[in-house]
Amino acid sequence: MPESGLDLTVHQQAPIPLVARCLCAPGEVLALVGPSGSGKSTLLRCIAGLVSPRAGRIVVGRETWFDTDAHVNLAPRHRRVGFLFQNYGLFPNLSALDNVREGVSRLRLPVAEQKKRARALLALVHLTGLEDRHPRELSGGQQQRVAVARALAGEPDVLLLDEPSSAVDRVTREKLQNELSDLRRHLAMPVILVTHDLEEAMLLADRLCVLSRGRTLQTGAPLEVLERPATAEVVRLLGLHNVFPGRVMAHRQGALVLDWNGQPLTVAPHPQYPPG
Amino acid sequence: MRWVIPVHGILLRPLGEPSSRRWDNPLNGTIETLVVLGDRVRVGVHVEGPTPVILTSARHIAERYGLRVGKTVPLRLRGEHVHLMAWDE
Repeated sequence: MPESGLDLTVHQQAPIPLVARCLCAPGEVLALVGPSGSGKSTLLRCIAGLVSPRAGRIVVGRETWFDTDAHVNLAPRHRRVGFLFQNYGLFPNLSALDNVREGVSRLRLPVAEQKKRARALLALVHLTGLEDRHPRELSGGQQQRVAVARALAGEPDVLLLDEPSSAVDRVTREKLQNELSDLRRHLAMPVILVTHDLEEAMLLADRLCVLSRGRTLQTGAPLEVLERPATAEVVRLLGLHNVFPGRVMAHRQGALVLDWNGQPLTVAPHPQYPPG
Repeated sequence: MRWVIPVHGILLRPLGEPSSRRWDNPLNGTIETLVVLGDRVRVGVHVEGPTPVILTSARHIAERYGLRVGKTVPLRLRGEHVHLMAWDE
């Protein structure tokens, strides 16, 4: 995987407004967070080639997958994407091993090699011994792990996780999140995680990208976004506490003095509110 | 403009403890809400204006301080955690 990771810029007004910019380095987990209808899953589908935005550019490593100016639009089958869907999308009539082999098949390996690779991936997600079970014989968490193994099977350049924990109960969700957290240490590609669960994003992501109505509002390290929200909308979307009106009264000895309903507060200097 | 401070930027201050940090803001407030969340406690304290400040504390600390609704508590609001932002409503 080349060093530059994923670089996405999309613009369109219809059918769904999208004004988004995302960067994700190799091995990094970028969480797209926002309410339903904010465009999170649409962005994943743009990356996978299932949706073509009106304008924009998607570059993965040194390969351009989509570029309206250059009239490039790789078909989904030519984009090396591992996609973990919300409902996992496992084939019910295939065993866990054969589900993963479906993912391996794009590599065009001999059957024996496909099976070996599928077994190795199932081992990576701690499913050794369950290779012959069908999805109905697996728990929700085990099904998800099969789906993760299948998503990784084609040696993707980008891994896309679309609300991976939304279909399971809370206890299973926490277990899955821990497992994904473990697994991500083995991944060298950019990972885009769609979630509306801020806790999940905090646990798994290196950076958050906050989206609303198709627009990226703020991108940064989770703590940075939570501590330094860029706009009122980010505050509302993330449900942050402790937001108060204030007024800069003075600059004093390298500090700002705020007026909070008559109560003076001494705070660190802020670049947007320089002395004078 | 608005200012925002994360819950960990507001601390309970032992009575009589002097402020030693550069941007410390000693305040007093009255506890409006107190919610136990496992081994943590989320406390809403009325200080100024209509909206309480929210802080969290380990449950054993809250018990040591005898926190309860209606009690006046001394706080430290750590000014280095305050973030200023334009309010675009």
